[in-house]
Amino acid sequence: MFQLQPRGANNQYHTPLSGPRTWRAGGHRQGCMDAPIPDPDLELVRRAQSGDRHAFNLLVVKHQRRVAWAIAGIVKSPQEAEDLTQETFIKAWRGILSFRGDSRFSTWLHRIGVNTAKNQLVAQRSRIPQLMQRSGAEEDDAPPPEAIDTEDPERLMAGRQIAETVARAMQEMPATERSAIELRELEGRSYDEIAAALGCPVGTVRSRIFRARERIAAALRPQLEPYRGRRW
Amino acid sequence: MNEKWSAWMDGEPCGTCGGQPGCTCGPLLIEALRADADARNDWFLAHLAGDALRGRPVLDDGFSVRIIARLDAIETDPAYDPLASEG
Repeated sequence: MFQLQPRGANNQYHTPLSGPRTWRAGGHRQGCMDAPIPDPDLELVRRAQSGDRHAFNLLVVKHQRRVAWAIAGIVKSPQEAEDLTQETFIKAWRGILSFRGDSRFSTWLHRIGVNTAKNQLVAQRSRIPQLMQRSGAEEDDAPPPEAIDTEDPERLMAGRQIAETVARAMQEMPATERSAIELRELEGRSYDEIAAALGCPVGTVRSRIFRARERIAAALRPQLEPYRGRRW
Repeated sequence: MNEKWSAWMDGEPCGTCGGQPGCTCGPLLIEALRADADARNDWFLAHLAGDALRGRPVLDDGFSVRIIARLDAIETDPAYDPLASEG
């Protein structure tokens, strides 16, 4: 099951060197007049549309947290969020041929997830009056939906440790690599834009982002090794 | 994972082909991911790192496996539109 952070938690990480950074969602760069970045998922989606389950599985692994995060902002229970996330990917796979590329794949998936979660809420609300009528006096003893929380403290701790490892790796890497990966992952900038911002060739941006990813992955590998066999 | 594949994951030209049609970086990466568990682990870690930076929940202790297992029993449906079918 996923780590579900409290509602309203900022999408932020902090490092002493960079200060708080906030991710800005969407396939278009904020405040940028350029054309949007091409959808990086398109090749995998095309393969999935031709029946390649492996390609779709790669998309699952890539987007699972983004979908779960969106759903966890709508429903309360971590278990319910996991169930609805599964449901979202099932709907997406079943209907993959209806994706025409009018939006980015991630946007399409996000909309399916949000709709699925909202529909679940509507269904629950319609069931609650019926349950209360049946349970009579017991209704006063039932916890409000906000009080239902099955979060596992060990999982929460593991999630925090992973976040700390990533933050530490960011602090320890050269500033040139850190700037490049921040502009890519947090700002959603293209390599051309990053090159312009940092005053270096695009090839250098490519190298810096790759090296930054390698540093973070190297820091995470030992920590995540126990989960490897259960992952994919 | 290598530099070209990192760029491909971002939807960027690999640097060798300049993003021209016929670039083999994507297909080669996809096939490597199909065959090589270490490559799949790198794919997972790269996206996990990005999500961790953005402050999303990060631990996956079997979640993707459960989704993929359920997907095995589902077929694509040309008549099904998940956004049109529900509000």
